[in-house]
Amino acid sequence: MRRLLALLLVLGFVLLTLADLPTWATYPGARSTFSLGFLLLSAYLLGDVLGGLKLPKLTGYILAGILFGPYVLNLVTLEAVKDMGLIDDLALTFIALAAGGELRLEELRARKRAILLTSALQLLVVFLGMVLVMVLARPLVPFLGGKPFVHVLAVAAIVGVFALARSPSSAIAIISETKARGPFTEMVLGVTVLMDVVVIALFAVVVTLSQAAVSTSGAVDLGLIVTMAIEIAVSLGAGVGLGYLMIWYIKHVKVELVIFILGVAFLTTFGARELATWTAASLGTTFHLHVMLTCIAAGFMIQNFSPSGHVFMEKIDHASLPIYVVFFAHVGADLDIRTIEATWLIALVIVAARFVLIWLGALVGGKLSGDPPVMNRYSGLSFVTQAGVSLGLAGIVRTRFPGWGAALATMIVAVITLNQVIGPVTLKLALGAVGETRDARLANPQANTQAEGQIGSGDPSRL
Amino acid sequence: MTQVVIGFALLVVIALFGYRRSFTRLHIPLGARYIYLTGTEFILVGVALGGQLMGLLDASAIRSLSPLFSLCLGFVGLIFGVQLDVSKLRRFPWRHSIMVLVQALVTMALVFFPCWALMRHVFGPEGHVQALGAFVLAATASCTGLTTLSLLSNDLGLGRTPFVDLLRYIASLDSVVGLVGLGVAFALMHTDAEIGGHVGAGLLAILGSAVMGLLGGLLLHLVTERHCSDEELTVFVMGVVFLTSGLAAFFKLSPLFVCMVAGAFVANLRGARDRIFFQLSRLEHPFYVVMLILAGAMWNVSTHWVWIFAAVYLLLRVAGKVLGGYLAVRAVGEPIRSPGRLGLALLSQGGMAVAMVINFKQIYPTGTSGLVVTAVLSAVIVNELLSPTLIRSLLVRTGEVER
Repeated sequence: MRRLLALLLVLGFVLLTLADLPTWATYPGARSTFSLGFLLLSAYLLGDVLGGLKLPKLTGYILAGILFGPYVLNLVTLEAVKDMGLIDDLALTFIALAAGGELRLEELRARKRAILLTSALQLLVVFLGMVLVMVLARPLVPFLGGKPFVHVLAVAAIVGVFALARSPSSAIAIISETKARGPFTEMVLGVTVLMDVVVIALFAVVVTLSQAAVSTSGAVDLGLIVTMAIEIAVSLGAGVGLGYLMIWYIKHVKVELVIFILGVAFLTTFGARELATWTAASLGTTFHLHVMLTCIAAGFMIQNFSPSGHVFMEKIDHASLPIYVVFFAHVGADLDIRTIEATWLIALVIVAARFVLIWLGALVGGKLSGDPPVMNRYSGLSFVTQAGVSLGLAGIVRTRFPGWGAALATMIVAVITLNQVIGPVTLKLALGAVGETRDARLANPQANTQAEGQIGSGDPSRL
Repeated sequence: MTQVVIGFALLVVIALFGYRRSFTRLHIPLGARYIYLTGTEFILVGVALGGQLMGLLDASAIRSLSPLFSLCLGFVGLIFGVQLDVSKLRRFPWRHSIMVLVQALVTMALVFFPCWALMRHVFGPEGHVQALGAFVLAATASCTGLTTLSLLSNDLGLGRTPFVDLLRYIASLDSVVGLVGLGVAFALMHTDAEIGGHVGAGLLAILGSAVMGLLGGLLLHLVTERHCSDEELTVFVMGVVFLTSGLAAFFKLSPLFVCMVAGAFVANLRGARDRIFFQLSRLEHPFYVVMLILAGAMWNVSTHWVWIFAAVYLLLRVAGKVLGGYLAVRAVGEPIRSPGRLGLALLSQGGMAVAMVINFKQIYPTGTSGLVVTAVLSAVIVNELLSPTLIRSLLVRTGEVER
């Protein structure tokens, strides 16, 4: 009740700025400051309310962003959302460091079979299944009307790649919120991160082939594939270097680790931006450092190649809450939900089909790797979330396909928006159902141990 | 963009390592050590990074860092307010509060009127901003920094004597007088009218300022009263600081004053006030250093005449402190040897004065604010250089320490 009152008070504060006070001079430069405070408080309080209803707090943060953002109530204006872009980038790198730190080599080795099989099966089932769904559902896609089949196939393949994309940031935030740990959690995170790399690579291949297919000459330009391959390699290499730098700092300097981590996150974001600008100006092509991959690699190095992993994760945990709240509230505010209105029918079809295909791929993958039935049943629910990388790739689609790229990108953003809201709920449900959240562990301490004992036996009959 | 980022990164690095070094006791000669120990040198670091030298924190970069300014100001206001626990203040004799008031008001009056007149006649009229600038000068003049006094009394092994306690009390509280004055002045001015032009609107703005602070405090109290984790507390404190200071700045009110009211409200309610204070104090020094660097970066001397103005301000403040101290002692009949020198022990100006000029410069980036920044920052540096010696000489004269 008190927190609800607080939420109303926070709303009152912001409504004050919208009131008609003609004699009151204003200083618009301060809008982004109070918008940041407003989002931080309102998102956390709304998340708290949803947490009380057993829903993920993360969903509350995102909903607060959507609700108070520029496309619904406009209490946080589009200008303020843009002003917060730097904070958003900063938070994303911080979250990626946390995601990398959660990947423990020893546990990944133990779950190697499950991670690889689940990833491979999802790649096959989701990608091919989605291509088929899109081909069948083409009458629902307005911009495909009257287009040759090769165009339909190109669009279907691109949507297939997007269906594979996940959100490591949402996954890590839910894992952090629920304090989940165990083999299932490790597998979920492992698959999510691995698919992030796969999606970037596959996207380059599919877009290149699609461009060739829809062009009149039919020539294949390998430039995008080469560039993206180099980007992935450089991003991972930079992450290894950054990881070693941070290991050195933790070992020798030690003080104020949280501020140091934030500084590293900031400089990495800045470095990526500068690199993109510099390459565009001097080489004529924009080179993207995938900050998410770089920071995941850095976090992975610290966790697995130094004795400081636990110190690093402890500090990350300590500072993570305000960062998650601001980041996901900003993600919500930045989601243009008008895209759903424009493409709601096909968006719903894609979301539903993707959900089923992911569940099917995860089920078969889990069965082949011999995971316990309870994990196989719920594993598919863990891979629904979508965000950052997908939105970035949607932007590339927009520019690469001048004819229908913008319409396709709008449709993809609508799908991402829906999955961003649904995904955290299903992930929390899955983690709880397999008994790896803190609450589930406390409620049934035996269950987790038993499940761990059954993992990786290679006996598919347990399904 | 590049400048903003490099500037910000430098700020963080310097703040981080700087405060570690600067607030650590170092064994260097007395005169140099005090300016170093109080962190005042970071103003000069800011000057080096600013538009006049390296250009990393130039005017456009500073504009882009606007949320950081508001956060710093709100933070300073909140941490100051959280310490204003009336039940603790009541442990001191009431006459000490009278002394604080008399000393601060006399200093403010002695600085305000001459400075306003000088600004109007020498630098040309610039409307109501000039009056506000003069008032900011007056408010900054009332502030006394506590750090030098604390460091010196530790160095001299004074412990808690009645006289040192009185100095500490005055130094802790005279900024409240200046800050309340600043809050009122910002409220009166924000209607873009001359003083007295729109009295009704001005009064409404003063009330709005106070209510905004009270609501900010109430909000912080509501969300922290029930048990919350340290991580949640960080979210709430940062959220309230951003929201309240941003809102105050949006309405051209003083984030410092509004957040001080919020802090004072929390301080006088049962709740998480001690935890909030602890949380704020953990971040105090890095924020302080960042603030000093930002202040240095916005220090832009356009004409040599401002140095003369700065010298006049410095002298007026010394005169105000001496006269204010003398009248304060006489007003309550405090038994002090050398009452005429009490004000000389209160010359150190401290971080609150710097925060006040940042507040003014942020919302009113005019020629007057440039003048005010130069006057106050140069006075802060000179006062930090002088005050250890003056405090020590007063303590010798009053018999607190041997020669």
